[in-house]
Amino acid sequence: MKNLSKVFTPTGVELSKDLSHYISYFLGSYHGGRNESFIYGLVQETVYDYDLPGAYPTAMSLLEYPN
Amino acid sequence: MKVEFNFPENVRYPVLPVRLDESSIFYPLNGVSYCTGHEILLAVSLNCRIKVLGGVFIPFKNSGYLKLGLVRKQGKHTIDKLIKDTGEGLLKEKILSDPIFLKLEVRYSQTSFLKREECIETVETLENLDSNTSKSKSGGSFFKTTRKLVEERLKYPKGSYMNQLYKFIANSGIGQMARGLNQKKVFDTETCKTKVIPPGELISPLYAGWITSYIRCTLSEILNNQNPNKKIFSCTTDGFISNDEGLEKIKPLKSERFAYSYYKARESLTGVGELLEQKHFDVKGLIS
Repeated sequence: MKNLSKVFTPTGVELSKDLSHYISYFLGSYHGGRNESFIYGLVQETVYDYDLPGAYPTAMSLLEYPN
Repeated sequence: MKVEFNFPENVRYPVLPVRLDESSIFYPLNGVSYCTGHEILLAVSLNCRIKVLGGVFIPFKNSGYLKLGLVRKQGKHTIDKLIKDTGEGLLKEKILSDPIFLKLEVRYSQTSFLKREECIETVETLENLDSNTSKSKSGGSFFKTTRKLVEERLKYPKGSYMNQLYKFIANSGIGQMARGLNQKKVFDTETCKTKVIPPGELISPLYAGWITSYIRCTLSEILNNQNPNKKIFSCTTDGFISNDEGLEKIKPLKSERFAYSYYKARESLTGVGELLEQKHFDVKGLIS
């Protein structure tokens, strides 16, 4: 788990007990994209490169307001 | 959410991220993961055994779409509280009849975690994905902006300066939400020193986590649904390399929760449903 105080409170302000408890889940659950190699080495066959068009903007379009 | 998990050994691409260090995550068959509701849903659909160790629930307005909630357990049961908290008039029968809820309920009851004072339960709302995409048309907080940027981008040929500029602007939204969250270090050309990227004013771990996990899940779901006789060599955030031809033509089934919702979201944004596009192919092969 990352050090939250460095991210949100660079001047050293401390988070209240409840907020620090909840926000640790948000921050801990944030990860970047999935980048992985499943097969290593030289591949000598035709390969196809696929991607999700406009991935992050598309996901962003589905977001709603927190209630 | 913080969960302990165990995937069946026949799952080719486990979906729950485990952090190795500050810059590396991997996807083992079992372990302890900090993840989002999206990932729990996908994991459950792959018959993963899950113990919820902790979490927090943020309700979203109009979110028939994949709402996965965590409710602090109070007293005997939380279903009534869930209905009250969500404020969407969800029917108890509807919740109880949901197969995913039942699976989770059974699994949780087998764990010792339910005895803890701050025990957590996970529940998903059940409206179908068709109505969700129509809701996002009118109510999504970023829908109008995103659609505008996508429309502008599509006016220009692929690879052109303006096309790339609008792509950059659209991607900057998520970039700013996540800026500073992982405390990445970069080389500063002005001072010739390495420094940590500071958080931006738009920093939002909630939104950033939601968006990136949704894309990870969409990608992981596609990977898990591929022909097992074909090879997938690698994946990179929003794409993968395979020796399977013609995947750009696939239309996801409704049962493919993330792929289908992604397909419908593209339909809402561009007027054309699409899931994958083939960037290029190489007959010579590659070094993976």
